Amino acid sequence: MKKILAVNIGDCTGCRICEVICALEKGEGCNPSKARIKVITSEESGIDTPAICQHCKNPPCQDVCPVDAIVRDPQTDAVILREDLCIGCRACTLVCPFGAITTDVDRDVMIKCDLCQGNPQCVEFCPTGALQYERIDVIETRNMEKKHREILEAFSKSL
Amino acid sequence: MDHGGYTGKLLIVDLSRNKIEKENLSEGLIDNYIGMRGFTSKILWDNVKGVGGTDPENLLLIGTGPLTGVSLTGGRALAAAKSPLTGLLGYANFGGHWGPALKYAGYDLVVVKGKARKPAFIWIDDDKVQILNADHLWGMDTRETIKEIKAGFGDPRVQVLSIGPAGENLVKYASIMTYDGHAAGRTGMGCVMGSKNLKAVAVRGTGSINVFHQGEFKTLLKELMDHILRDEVSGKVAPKLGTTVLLNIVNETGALGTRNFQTGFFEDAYEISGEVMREKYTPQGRGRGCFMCPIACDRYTVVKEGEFAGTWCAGGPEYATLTNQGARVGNKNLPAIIKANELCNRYGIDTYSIGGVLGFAYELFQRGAMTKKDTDGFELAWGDYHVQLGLIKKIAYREGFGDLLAEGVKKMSEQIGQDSSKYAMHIKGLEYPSKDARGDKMYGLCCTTSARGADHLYSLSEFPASVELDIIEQMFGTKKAVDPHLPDGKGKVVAFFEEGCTFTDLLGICKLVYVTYVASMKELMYRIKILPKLYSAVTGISLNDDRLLECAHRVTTLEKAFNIREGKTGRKDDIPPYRFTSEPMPDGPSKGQVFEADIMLDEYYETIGFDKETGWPYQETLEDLGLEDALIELTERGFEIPQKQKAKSNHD
Repeated sequence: MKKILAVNIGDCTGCRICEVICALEKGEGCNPSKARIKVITSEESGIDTPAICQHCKNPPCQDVCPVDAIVRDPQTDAVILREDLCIGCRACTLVCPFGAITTDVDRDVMIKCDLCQGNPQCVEFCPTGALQYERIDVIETRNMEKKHREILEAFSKSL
Repeated sequence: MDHGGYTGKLLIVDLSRNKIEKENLSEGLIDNYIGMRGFTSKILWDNVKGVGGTDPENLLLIGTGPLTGVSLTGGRALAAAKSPLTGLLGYANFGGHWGPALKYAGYDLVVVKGKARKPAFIWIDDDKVQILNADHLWGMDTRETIKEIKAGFGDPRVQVLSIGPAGENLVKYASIMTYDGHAAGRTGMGCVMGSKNLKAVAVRGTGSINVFHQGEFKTLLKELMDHILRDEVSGKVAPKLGTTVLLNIVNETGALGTRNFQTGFFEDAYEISGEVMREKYTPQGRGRGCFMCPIACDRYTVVKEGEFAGTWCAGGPEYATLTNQGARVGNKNLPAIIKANELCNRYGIDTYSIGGVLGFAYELFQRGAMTKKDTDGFELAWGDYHVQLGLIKKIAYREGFGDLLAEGVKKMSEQIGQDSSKYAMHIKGLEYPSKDARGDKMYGLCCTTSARGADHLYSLSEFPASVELDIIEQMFGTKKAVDPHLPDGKGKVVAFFEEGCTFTDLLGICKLVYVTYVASMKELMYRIKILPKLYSAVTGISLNDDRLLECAHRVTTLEKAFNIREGKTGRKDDIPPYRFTSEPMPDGPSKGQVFEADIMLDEYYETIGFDKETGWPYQETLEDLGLEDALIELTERGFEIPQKQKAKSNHD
C-alpha cells in the first residue's frame, strides 16, 4: 500500500525546521522562501499549520497544466512537476486548493513537493510528529485511536 | 562571501543623515569574535565612548550569529547599545523569527546611528533598504504597530521589531518586541530605539544562506535533534512547561523572590505555577517554537473568562514574568499576571525590571518611606493587582508617580534617599531578576558578576536535576559545588556557565537548549562539544573547542573592559543587593542563609584571570587574548591595570 504525507495540525509548533530542511534538500541553501513546505502562523490563535501538497487523488493542477508537466510518480504516487517542461504559466497554482505550488522567481518555474523520492526530509526532521509519512490506513487508525483516547480520558475524569 | 553561515554584510543606517550604507564583514571580526554578541560588543568597544545611553551618538546594533537562520534553535538575534539604564554595556537577546529574516535579507548585523528628525521606521526588503516615515505609527503599542506594518506590506513573511509607548517615552527599561511575543527586554534597548525616534525595523528576507558542508551538517542536526528529543528534560519537560517548570521548583528550594525578596518562599506559588497555567490558559496544550527549535518551550496563553477575558500572549508568560509580576509583588492571581505580561509586551517594557521597580515601590510603601501623597493616591498593598496594572500604564506613559518609576530602582533609590538603598534590589543599576541569592548562590554570583548588571543569562548557572557527582568534582574541585546553599566552588561554576552562554550568544542560538534543558552533565557536555562542529560544517571555517573558548573569553573580557572605561566599574560594583548579604533568609527552606559574596567573588576572578582586588583583568590576560589595544587605551585613560606577576608576588 502507498504511503501518504499527513499533516497533524494540532502537533505543529511553528518551528519551521521543515522549511529549512526542504530548501537544503532541494539545493537552495538555507532559504525558506524556496521551500516546498511553508508554515502558516496565526499569532492571535496560537495555531501553526504546515502547508504542503497533498498529492491529491484527482489533482486539479494536473488537469489544468497545458503542457502536461505535472505527472504522477509511479514509485511513490507523488504528484510531481517536471520543471524541464514547465512554462511558468501559473495555472496550477491558481487551482490548487492548498496554495501548495509556488513560483521560483529566480528560475521562473513552478516548484512543489515531490516527496523526496519516497523519503520526505521534512518528515524525517519534524520533531513533533506534525508531519508523518505512512500508509493511509495506518495514519487513519492512529488518528482514530488518538481521538478515542481523548474521549476515554475525559470520560474517566467524569467518573 | 566564501564562508557559509555568514551573509558577509553589515547594514549601516544613519538616521541623522538619512543615509544607508553596506559594508563587508571583516575577516578579523569573524576570526576573533565569531558573531552576534561578539560583533556587537567589539563594535561598542570601538565606537561608543563617553556618550549617554539616549544620546544620538550612541549606536543601536542588532546582530545575528553564523548559525542564526541556519541551525537548530537559530532564531536568536541580539540588540546592543550603551544602556541608558545602567550607563554600561547593554544588550538583550531575543528569539522568534526576526533574526533569520535579517539573514535571508542578506545582513549579519544592522548598525543604527544618529537620530531621526521625525518618527521613522526602517524597511529592509532584501537588498532594498529605506528609512520611512512613522508618524502614523507613533503612539501605537507594539501589537498595533506590527500588525499595521505587516498589513501595509501585505506579506506574511515580513518580520517586525517595534517599540511601544514606553520606548517612545524613554522609560529606561523599555523593551523591543516582536509580534510573536519575543522581547529584547533587558537594559533598555527600547529606550535607545525611542531616543533615535525609531519606531520599528521591518524585514523581508527571501535570499539564501549557504551551508558549506551540507551532508555533514544534516548528519549533525539529526544527531543533535535525537539527543534533544530523547533527553528527559529537553524532550519531555521543556516542551510541556518551558521555563515555567521552575516556579514550583525554585519555591521549594526557598529561592523564589517574594515581596521584593523579603523572603524566598511564596505561600501561593502553586496558584501561579506553570502547571496551572498549562492546565487552564494554554488551549493548545503544547508549546510554540522559535525558529528551528525542536523543543518549542514558548507558549500561547489566553484568558477566556472573568475580569481579564480576552487577554492573550503569543508567547509567555515565562517563569521570570510569573515571579516578577507574581511573587515579587505578592500577586497570586494568574490571569492578572497574564494581563500584566500582555500590557508589558504591548507597551514595550521589560517584565523583569518593572517587577523590580514595583516590588521596590511596594516595599517602600509598606515601610512608610512612601505614602499615598507620593503615589498619586495609589495604595501599594502587596497582591493588589489592580494597582500593579495601573502602575504599568503610568510607567509606560510616565504619568505622575510613573515618571519616577520609569527611571529604574537605582535612580528611585537615589531620589528617595533615607535607607531605601537597603531594599533597592539591583546590581550596577539593573534590577535583580528572580531567584534569591541566599537560596541559590550560583545564581546570585552570576547576577553579581554579569557585565550587564544583575542578569542571570550572562552565566545561566543551573545544574541538571540529576548530576554526576564525580564529574562535578572533576570540573569544579568539590562535590559541594552542586549545593545551592554552599558557597563552595561557585566561582568556578559561574565561570563555566559564562563560557557556555557566551558560546551560544556568539553563534546565534538558544542558550537554554545547550546549557539548561538537559537531564545530566554528560548531556550538557555533549551539547557544548557539538557547537564547534556545527560551526565548521556550516561555515567551512575550522573551529575547535580551544579557539571557541578563547573567543568567548575575549568577548567577556572586552565587555568588562567596556564597563571599566565607560563606568569606572570594578569589584566595588560587583556587589549583590544589601539584603542578600546582610539579612539572613527569614523563613522557608533557605532559612538562615546569607550570600557569602567575598569568598565566591575571589574564586570567580581567579578563575577568569582577573585581579581580586580591583576586579579588573590582569595585563597578561588582556595580552593573551590579543586585547593589547584595550590595555593601552585603559592605561592611557588612567586605569592602572594590574599585573598578574606583581599581584602574585605581593600575595606571597
